[in-house]
This record gives sequence, C-alpha cells and structure tokens, in this order.
Amino acid sequence: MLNTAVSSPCTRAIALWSGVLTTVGGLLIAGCRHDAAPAVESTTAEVALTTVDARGLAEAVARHRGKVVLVEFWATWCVPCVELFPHAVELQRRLAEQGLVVISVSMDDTKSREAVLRFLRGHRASFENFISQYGVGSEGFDAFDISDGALPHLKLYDHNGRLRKTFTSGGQPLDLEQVERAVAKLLEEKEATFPKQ
Amino acid sequence: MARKWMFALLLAIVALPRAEVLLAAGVKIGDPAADFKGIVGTDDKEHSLSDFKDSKLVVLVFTCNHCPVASAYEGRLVALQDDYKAKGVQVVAVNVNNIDADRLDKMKERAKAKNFKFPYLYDSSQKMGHDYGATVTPHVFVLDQHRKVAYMGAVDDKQNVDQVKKTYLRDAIDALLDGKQPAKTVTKQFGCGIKYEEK
Repeated sequence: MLNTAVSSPCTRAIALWSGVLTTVGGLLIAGCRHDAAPAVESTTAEVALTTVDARGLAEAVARHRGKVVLVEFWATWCVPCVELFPHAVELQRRLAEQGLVVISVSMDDTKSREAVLRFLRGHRASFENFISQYGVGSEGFDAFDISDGALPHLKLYDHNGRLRKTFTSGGQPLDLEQVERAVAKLLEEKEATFPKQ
Repeated sequence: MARKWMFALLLAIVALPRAEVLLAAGVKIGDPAADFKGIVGTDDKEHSLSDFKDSKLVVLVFTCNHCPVASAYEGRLVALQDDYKAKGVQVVAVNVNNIDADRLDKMKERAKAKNFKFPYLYDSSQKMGHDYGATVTPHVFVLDQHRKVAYMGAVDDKQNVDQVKKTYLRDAIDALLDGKQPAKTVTKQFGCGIKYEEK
C-alpha cells in the first residue's frame, strides 16, 4: 500500500520558521497551499507537520473532494487522544484505497511542535498532519468548532466535502464502533454516487 | 403521513450522538444554580451550596488532578481566591472523575501541594457534572448573588499563562461585583473531557 505525505518545499520552509513566526507562518501556508505539490508517494513513513488555522483546514478538507475525510483533533497532553491515535493510522492504512483520507490536527501549544512531530513519527502517521496555530485555548477550540471543548474530537466529511458527523468526548468516551460504522456508511455512499468504472 | 413523521422523529432520537444522550443539557445563563448537598471535600467535611450563602459570588470550577490543562490553571485559581476573597467571592473546586489519579486521596495531596485555600470537592456520583453540563476540566460556572448562573466557560483564553490576553473569568467577576452583566457570559471551555460513566 502506498502511504502519502505532504512535503513540499513550501511546507518545509514554513516548518522551519513556524516556531518563530507562527501567525505569519499560518498566513503564508494559506498562500502557499494552492501551489503545494499534492503528495509525495513513499513506501516508508514520511511525516510532515504544518501549522494551520481554520481556513487552512477547511481548504485541506476541500482539496480531498471526492473522498471521505476524517479529521482527528488531538493533543499530546490528552491521554484518550494518545490511545486513540493508532486507530486513525490503522483506519487510513485499511481504508485509503476505498477512498478514506485521514487528517490529524494537533491542538498542542505551537511550542510543542517537536514533541508532536516525534509522536507522529513514532506512530508512522504518514497522512496529512497539522498543528493548530492558536495554541491551547478557547480561540482554537472555537475556530475549529470543537463544541464541547474536549479532545479527541472527530469530524467526518462526505465526498462532497460536507460535514456529516461529529464525534465528541466531553460526555462519554468516543465510540470507535460508531466511528467505523459512520466511515463505512459514507464510503458506501460514495460508491453509490460515483460507481466504479 | 403522521406515521412517517413519527418514524422521522424516532430516527432523529436514535441517531443522536451517544454523548448528548448521556450528558444532560446542563445549565444555561440565567438558570438557577443546580443545588448540591453533602459533597465530601479534601478536608473530609461535607459541603453544600447553602454553606456559601453569605458569599456574593460562587465560582464553581470543575477540575481534576490528572489533566495537564486543569493543572495549568491551579495557580490561577489560588490567585483568584486570594485576590477576590475580601470582595465576597468564593471559589469551589470539584472533581467528578473516578479514575485512580483523581480519587480523594490524590486530591488531598494536590490540595496540599498547591495550597488550595478553597474547598476541593469529590462528587463520585458525578451528579454535579451532569447537573451543570460540565464537559471538560477546567470548566467554570459563576453563580451570582441570587445563585443564578451568570457566566460559564473558560478561566481565560490560553492555557499558557504567558500567552493570556483575555481574562474572561476575572472580567465576568468584576462586572458582576459592579452590578453589571458580564460582557461575555459564555466562552469556550477547553481541556480534558470529563470521564462520565455509563449508568
């Protein structure tokens, strides 16, 4: 199976600078993203991490139109997130060929960027990885509409880029079976809408 | 036709996310404070909302031991109590998680280590969390002089104290002490999800 990682010169340059100029970096990313190479195919786990704001994330989701997109908001400080993360990696591996795209968004402090990268590399998270530009605070949870303020938080988009399901964890731990069922359902929908040639 | 609507309604109820079903809606701004009685604290005494009847404002904070976000706010809560004690503001911290790291003996250690000068309660029934609709730690509810919910949400806008730009809770308290409505009555809480148990 082919794993993919976004690793354009543009994102690498921003990765270098974003620790210093997070906000400016976020703006640059928004500008760069349109020109970024779509993906680098690799059989090894290449891991990239890009700073993102709400607009940048919306654009990232939109780029995958025609696929089902699962966005996983997480943080290194969140124990259930750390426990859940391998599931996202496994889902991507298992269902990428059927049209699932996983995107991770770390809600860690931007200063924790290296720790986030280490974690992602350790888990071979070769999908699109972002770190919120807002730091740990109400602004980021507002901007990404994490309604109950709790992580992990999953958003599932259909092949038309419409948000179809949100999985929260402020009231009850995330139910993986529900996530799997919802993903499978949307993948089927896609096949129904765009029958295989 | 009616049957069709009934089916749609039933489907909508069944399709509700589990979390929303299990966690009651909680309180809204202007609602009477949900009462609590006989909740044990780290001082081994039982505490009730009525114990604080002489306080102008009660700042009820859902917090816990294990959560790094909640821990980051402990110093700010201690400072808040120090700064506003003379003005009649009472901080009441409560933990409703039942994991090992958050149990009463661990809470006692934390209260001592961080020199909490306010009650730190342990509601193992989790009722208070459900009653208020607390979703994360920390999650703050300010109860005004009439014991109505006057503010709910975050302590401030950033976990990292050096990055704080908006002191939501202090601003709300200042407004209420001044007899005014807070400019922001609801802010986005953020932190570790409270670990509610299935009944």
